[in-house]
Amino acid sequence: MLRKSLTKIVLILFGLEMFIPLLGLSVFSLKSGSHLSLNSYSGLLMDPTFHQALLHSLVISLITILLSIVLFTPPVWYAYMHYPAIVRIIEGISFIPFVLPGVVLGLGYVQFFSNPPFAWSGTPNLLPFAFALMGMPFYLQAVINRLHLVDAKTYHEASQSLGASPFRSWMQVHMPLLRPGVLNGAILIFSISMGEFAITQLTTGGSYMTLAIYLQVLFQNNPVQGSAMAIIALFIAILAVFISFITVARERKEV
Amino acid sequence: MRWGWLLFVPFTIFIVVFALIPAIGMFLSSIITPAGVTLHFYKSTFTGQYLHSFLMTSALALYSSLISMAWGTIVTWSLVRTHNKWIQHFVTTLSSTMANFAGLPLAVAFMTTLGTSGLLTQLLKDVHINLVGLGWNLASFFGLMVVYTSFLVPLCIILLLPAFASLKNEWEEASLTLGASLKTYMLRVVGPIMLPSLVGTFVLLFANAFSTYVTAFVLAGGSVNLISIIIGYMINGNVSLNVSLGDALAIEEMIVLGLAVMIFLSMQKLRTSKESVSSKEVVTRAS
Repeated sequence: MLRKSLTKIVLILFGLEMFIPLLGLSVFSLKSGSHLSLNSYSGLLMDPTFHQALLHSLVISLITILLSIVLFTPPVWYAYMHYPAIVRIIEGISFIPFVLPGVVLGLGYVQFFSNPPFAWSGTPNLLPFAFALMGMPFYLQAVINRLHLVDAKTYHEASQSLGASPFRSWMQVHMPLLRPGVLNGAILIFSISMGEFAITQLTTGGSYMTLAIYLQVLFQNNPVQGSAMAIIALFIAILAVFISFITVARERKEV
Repeated sequence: MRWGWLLFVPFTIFIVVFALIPAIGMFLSSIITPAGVTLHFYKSTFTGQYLHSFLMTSALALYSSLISMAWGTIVTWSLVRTHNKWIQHFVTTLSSTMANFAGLPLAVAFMTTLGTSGLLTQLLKDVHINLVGLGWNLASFFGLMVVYTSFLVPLCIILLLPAFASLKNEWEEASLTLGASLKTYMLRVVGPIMLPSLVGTFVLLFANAFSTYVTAFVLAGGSVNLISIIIGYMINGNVSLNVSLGDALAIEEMIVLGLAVMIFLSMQKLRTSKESVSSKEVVTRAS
């Protein structure tokens, strides 16, 4: 009995630790003189700079998602089917972004992408590549988990022994099997791309307005509206993670 | 199926161009000058301000990851014990967001809550607790430590949860039936099984804290001397620093993080072999 209530106390304390800053942020974002109002949110939603930042972030995120799907899905799928040992190598490679964090990557990029034909530092061109690299561990893990879950190899062998052409087996067996994993990975990539700050600031010099850059600049000039923007950013991140959890839970049930 | 190798080509080019070349390039730039190969820049990083930043970054990472580890382990343990799936899903979703995707908004949240004019700071002032007078400052070593734990504890939870969830209830029952105390069960059964996961989680928390940039940049700027801030300022042109010296700092950071990742991966390998621990083994350990 004592242990049970202790468990509860620990979880409540943890909940408070997480919620107090979020509560502080919410109340602050509603501040308007001495009373509370939604002015900061309506002001934010009408700010053309916000529209621009949102558009930029969405475009970069979509490009990053497409890039990640094209770059990462085929090799990990093929390795899983034919050379399981290579999957382990790919998993090892997926740890590269932990060794090359934003600041280090930024320093490398501004040095080695500053000469033609790749004079990309100062432009947003590097962002999709950088975000894809940072999202790589999340994306690969999502796809690998999916492959393990559905036992893709058995399906592959079955479709081959039934005489399906490689193209047909890809379209009718592998694509539908992989889809939830790809979707889940894409959501996580989206979450990273919508909120990334370090690389964006360092490789573009803050000249390219994304949601994160907007948030940082806005908070300095107008803290109340900046907090409203922080709430929106948190909401996007939590929503994305939530959707990804639901996809995973649904997959588990289906199998 | 020879053509299958073609699928690896774009991936390999991507890794080489966007990870390996910048990393190798920074290494070369840190040791080569027009006058020849030199270790001069590395020697400089171990003097004065740079040595200080290395020590500060390490201390901040060490303290905040130790605290997060202790608290995070207790929370994870309690979470597994609740057996309430709804709470478990809720905490995992929240933790995953806080740990991976919330750096900047979380820093802003702390400024609006515990900053000089933050909500909690003001509330406490109304009941005559003057945090600032007590020496509280968000833009300090201690302030950063508090904020770091707010994303390291969630990270600790998501990393430890699978390992804790794999502990079987029967093991505890078996141990207790055999007359082992809870302490014995913890020390002789749970401890050894969990050790690789705990060590692996700790090094990953350390690496995460060591390489944090956005939180430190937004909250403290230049007022706490950290490696990532020095490098960031250098890229932004706020301080004039020799590029080769910056590269040497970056390479040193990569060595620290690389070591951490290597320890993590070897612990993971150890863990998979330990998780297959048999119930018979548990019985022998408990008695």
